[in-house]
Amino acid sequence: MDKLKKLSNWFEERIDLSGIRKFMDKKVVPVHKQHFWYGIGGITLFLFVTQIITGILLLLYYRPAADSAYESVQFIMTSVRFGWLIRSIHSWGANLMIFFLFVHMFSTFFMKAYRKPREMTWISGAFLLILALAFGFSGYLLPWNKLAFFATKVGTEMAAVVPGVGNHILMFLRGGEDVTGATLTRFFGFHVALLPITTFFILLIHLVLIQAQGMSVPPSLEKEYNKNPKTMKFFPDFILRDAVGWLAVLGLLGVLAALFPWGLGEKADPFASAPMGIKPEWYFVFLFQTLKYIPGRILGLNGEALGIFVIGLGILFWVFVPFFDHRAQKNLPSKTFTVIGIVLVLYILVMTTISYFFSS
Amino acid sequence: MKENSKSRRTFLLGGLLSSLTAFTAMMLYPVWRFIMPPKVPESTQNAVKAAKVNELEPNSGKVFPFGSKPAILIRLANGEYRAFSAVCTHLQCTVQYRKDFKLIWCACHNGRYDLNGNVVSGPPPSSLEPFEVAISGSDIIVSKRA
Amino acid sequence: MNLTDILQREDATLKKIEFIILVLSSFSIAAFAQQGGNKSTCIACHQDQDPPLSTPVEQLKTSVHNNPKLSCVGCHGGDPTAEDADVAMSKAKGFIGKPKPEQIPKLCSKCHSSATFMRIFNPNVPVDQYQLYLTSQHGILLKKGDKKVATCISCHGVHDIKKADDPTSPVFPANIADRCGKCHADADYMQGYSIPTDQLSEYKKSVHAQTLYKKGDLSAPTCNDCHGNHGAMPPGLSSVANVCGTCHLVQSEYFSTSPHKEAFDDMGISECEACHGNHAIHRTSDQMIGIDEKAVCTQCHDEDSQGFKTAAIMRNGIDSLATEISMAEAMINKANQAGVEIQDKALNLPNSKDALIQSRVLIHTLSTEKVGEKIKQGLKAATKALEIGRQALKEVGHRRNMLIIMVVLTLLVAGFLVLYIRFREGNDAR
Repeated sequence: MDKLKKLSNWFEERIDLSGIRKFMDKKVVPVHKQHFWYGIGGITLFLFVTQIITGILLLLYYRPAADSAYESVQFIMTSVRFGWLIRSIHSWGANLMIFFLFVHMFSTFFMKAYRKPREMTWISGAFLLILALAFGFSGYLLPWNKLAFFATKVGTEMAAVVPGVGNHILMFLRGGEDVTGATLTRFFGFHVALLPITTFFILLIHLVLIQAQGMSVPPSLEKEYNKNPKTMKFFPDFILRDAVGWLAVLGLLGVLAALFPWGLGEKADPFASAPMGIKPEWYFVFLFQTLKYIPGRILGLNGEALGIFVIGLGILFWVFVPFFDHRAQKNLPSKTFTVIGIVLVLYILVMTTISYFFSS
Repeated sequence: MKENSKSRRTFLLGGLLSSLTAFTAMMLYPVWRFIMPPKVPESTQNAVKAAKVNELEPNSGKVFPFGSKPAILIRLANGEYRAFSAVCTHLQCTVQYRKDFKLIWCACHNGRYDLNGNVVSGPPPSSLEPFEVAISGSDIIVSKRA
Repeated sequence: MNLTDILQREDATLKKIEFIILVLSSFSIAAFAQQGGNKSTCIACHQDQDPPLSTPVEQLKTSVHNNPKLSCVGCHGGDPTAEDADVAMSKAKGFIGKPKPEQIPKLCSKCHSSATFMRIFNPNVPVDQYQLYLTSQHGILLKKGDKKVATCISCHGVHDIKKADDPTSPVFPANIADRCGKCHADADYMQGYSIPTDQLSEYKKSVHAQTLYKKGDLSAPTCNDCHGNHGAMPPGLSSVANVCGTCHLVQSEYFSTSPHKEAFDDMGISECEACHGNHAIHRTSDQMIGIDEKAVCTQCHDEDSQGFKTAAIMRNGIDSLATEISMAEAMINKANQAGVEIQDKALNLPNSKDALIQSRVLIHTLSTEKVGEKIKQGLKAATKALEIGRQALKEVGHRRNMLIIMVVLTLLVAGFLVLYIRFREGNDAR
């Protein structure tokens, strides 16, 4: 401890860290029935960090070209020591991260954390969601196996349905008319450069806002909380609790990687026909299934285009929900929006289940 | 009370730190092994050393492993090298080179391929996939066509 | 009035138009008259009739003979320009009506044996069918006066003849067996002939039929591949191995150099057929070799014979290799299922499987040395594959152990953390 003091003094003599010290000391987290949810964002962040670490490790051996990508992943899985572990952690980590991201999003939604003054936090969070999904979509193609190839084909085809710019979006995503090695190289660029740098900045905004504004207490608990406001110091108490969560997630990742290792499948063959039942990754499945149900034409308009338009509107609504939920802005209970949230969660669950168990 | 709690604190912190150290070591060990390159430093799935330069006589062939399937390297009478997939397109038996026929032949149902991999007679429905042959020093490297 | 007069008339334009119309109509009449061949009176008259008289016209439309240069008279004789039926179909004009069965082969050969004629249509089509037919059992019996035998039309059809590579043709590979069976599987029709009528039903049980019909592999043999098509005749006893050998070259060569060849030929046993059957050739299995009742060897060889001993040795060898291979495969699959990716760089498992197939073929040499040598090779590779499988399973166990350690350590740290948090919060409360 003495040595630590000496070290911190050395720094104090050179840079005034007192502001940061005070902040760390003062930062508190409200304690109430639902305060457990405050840790979910941290778990998502932890998983993101895991992805960065395992991703950089994989970068040591991965090759982003159509004639060597698959083989390089196979090499990692079979010849590199613990390659199977790093790769499986990366694949499982991606799925867990997106899962916890959804949990985080819905918990902040139901707790109405998006109301004033935290609108910007919510909006930056929405961008982070889109970035995470883009990470997932681009990363999925990188092993260049059959499943990923066709999932990417189907996924990028959706882009073309957007009226007017649809084809340009498709060409931009695919690096050409079809999914080829050019798509792979492009997706690799997105996955390891473009998306990380963008995420870094938006994440920074998101985290700075949270640090500056502190945790929001849900309106339903606010009255009770204000009578007797209990708090917990962030450093070290909440962090320690966070750490338990992170440890549990790390353990879970290890178990998943060891017991359910991520397979590789067969190498992609652009000339082969698509196998039956191609689906995108689970987090896109509910959208995919929705589009399947839309009839070809609705009132003379292209069904799919209309569907994507409506989904787009839905997304816009979701992103700007802080500005629609007037009651929550006034700290009043806003049951309508809670119901909207529940309906959305149920919709996602039902559509995903149908796609996996009842649809070919 | 204070004495007790102090020793408890020491015990808990001590236990925490030591188990955390072990845990960290356990996490870092695979990372360390991972970043150190394996014995064979890169994947050889797409380019294989099929033979040495003077290993094959003219008018002879050699079956060798290429990835997870067999491939065949033949040397024509004029010294030229050619390589194909050795998986017969009929029922996936492994083909071989027949000096006497000067053809690639499949023992299973007498399927015959010419020196370009095209079917000459017998049941095979299509030709053998051709591979690229390159000579690098004293090695003959066979790789997949782009 | 000549051309110049017409053109010089005062109302020349009108007359010019008249002239043009005249010219055009005469051209069209001439063109019409030139469309000979299939616009013969035979077709014109028969197509207006009811079936069966109109059927040939319909059938001709999809026939390979539907060519302006060929006509009904090519086979039937007669006059295709005569409007009057009696004239068109008169003996004087060469009309022969419906040819009799014994006339058919010669009739078809009129064109089909003439290289100069066939060249006009397809320079590559063979012209030896009639010659071959005369050497066939059908041809021989026909010459003797048997009118029940197959002639050209029995297999190819009459007016709707299609090329053999047309899937709707009765001589398309997948259709041939049924066409032969039309006579040969009909017990009533075949009364009086001394051959069995179960060939078709037997063939349909065979591995060749399965490959042809179920897998759709058109290279699989059907009746004509072993019997010939135009020169159809069962292979002689001592040439069975040659016939089977056109595809099964290795087995045939091995057999022909083995003691069995001479022995079988002397005893009048039909080579390959003795063990494998002729029509109901089943997929071979290891059980065919050996010394139990299921084996074919014991059909001839007694317990004290050399053959008996050889059979036992060969079967044992093959069984040991097959067992080693399936053990290796099971291990590798288990490891794969548990997520360990296997790299069998030297292709040990595929090589051992190849060796097993080759040993099974080598038994035709009846040489325990040759079979033994191949089995040894196979066992070497199989043992290596087994070792790879073992290592892979070891790795699975290894990973499980590491996982347990990881879980224990994680719980340990988590446990200490929780206790520490509790301790802190307990203290804070005080």
